Amino acid sequence: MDINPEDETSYTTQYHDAYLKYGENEYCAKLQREPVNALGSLPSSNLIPCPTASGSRQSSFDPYDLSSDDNEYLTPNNVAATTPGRSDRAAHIFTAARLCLNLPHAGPNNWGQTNPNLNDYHSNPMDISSTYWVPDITDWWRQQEETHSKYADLCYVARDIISIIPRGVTVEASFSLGPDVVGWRQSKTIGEMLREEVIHQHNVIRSGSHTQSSQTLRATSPVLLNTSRRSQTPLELSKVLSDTARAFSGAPGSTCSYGGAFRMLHLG
Amino acid sequence: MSKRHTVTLRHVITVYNDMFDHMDGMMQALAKKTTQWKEEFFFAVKLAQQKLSKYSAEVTPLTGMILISAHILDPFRKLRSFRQLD
Repeated sequence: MDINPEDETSYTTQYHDAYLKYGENEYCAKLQREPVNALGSLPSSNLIPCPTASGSRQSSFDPYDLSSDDNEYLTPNNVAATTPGRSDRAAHIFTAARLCLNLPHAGPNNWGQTNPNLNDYHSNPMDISSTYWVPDITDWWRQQEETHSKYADLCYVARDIISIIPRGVTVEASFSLGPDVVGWRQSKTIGEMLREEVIHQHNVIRSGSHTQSSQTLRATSPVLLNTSRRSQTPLELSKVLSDTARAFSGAPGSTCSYGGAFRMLHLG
Repeated sequence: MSKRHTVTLRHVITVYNDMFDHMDGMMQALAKKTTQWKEEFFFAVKLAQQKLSKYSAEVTPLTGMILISAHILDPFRKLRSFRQLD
């Protein structure tokens, strides 16, 4: 389902429907379908032996989900009838999601958190763009879970989604330099350190790893970005590398001044 | 946003909207300026807006449903940001 600007229904309705459909597909459907694995069809090394599960032909416990396969879930032959407990929980999640959307949004004033910026000139506590002060929604969802409120079943969905790091989302990953340098794990690396790491990477390339294949090169400088997309042959690639090396060393004829920047960073 | 120690995924769409608003304001302010650096600045902001539009256009229910869900699951906002589009 996609948002259609020419659709007569409002954007709110379209996003409302898309959200419910996403929740239905991603969470409710998974709870309603229980895959049955044929014995011997899965590699035994991925599974922890479980006599009870094997004997009853139910799915064995796979702690790392190594045996998961989309086709396994999509093939009707492998889908068993749902158990009443799972069906109830899926229905509760869907009902809670619908209820959560239909009720008005919560206000921080009637929840108990106080805005530390309330007394300054940004007087509107809900004006997100003015102060970026926002209540901690993890506490809100935890509170809903502990008090067994009407949203309690939705807490698990919320916990799954809001715990994702923004740069892990595909759309944002293309926006961010961080994963190229510091990897997936959350870190406290500041922007200056990231820039220094990028320069360091280029310095490693300059210092003699000309034998690297094009697959291992991570083009992040303007020189590499602009030229590596065009370069297909090893000869052209080595030309790119030598141009980058000249640029780092500040040699005449180089097209950028990374060498000067590098010296400023490392030599003061 | 990267320096915060709380969940930030729900802010992504808000940050997009704020950046668009900021760029629109800048372009309105610079639209009739004739000084050379202001004209260049206007052009730069315009290019930045085009670049951001390219990324923002990818946040659809087909590709960016995680962002949209995180935004809607914020109990203090829910669908309010999308009502502004209507």
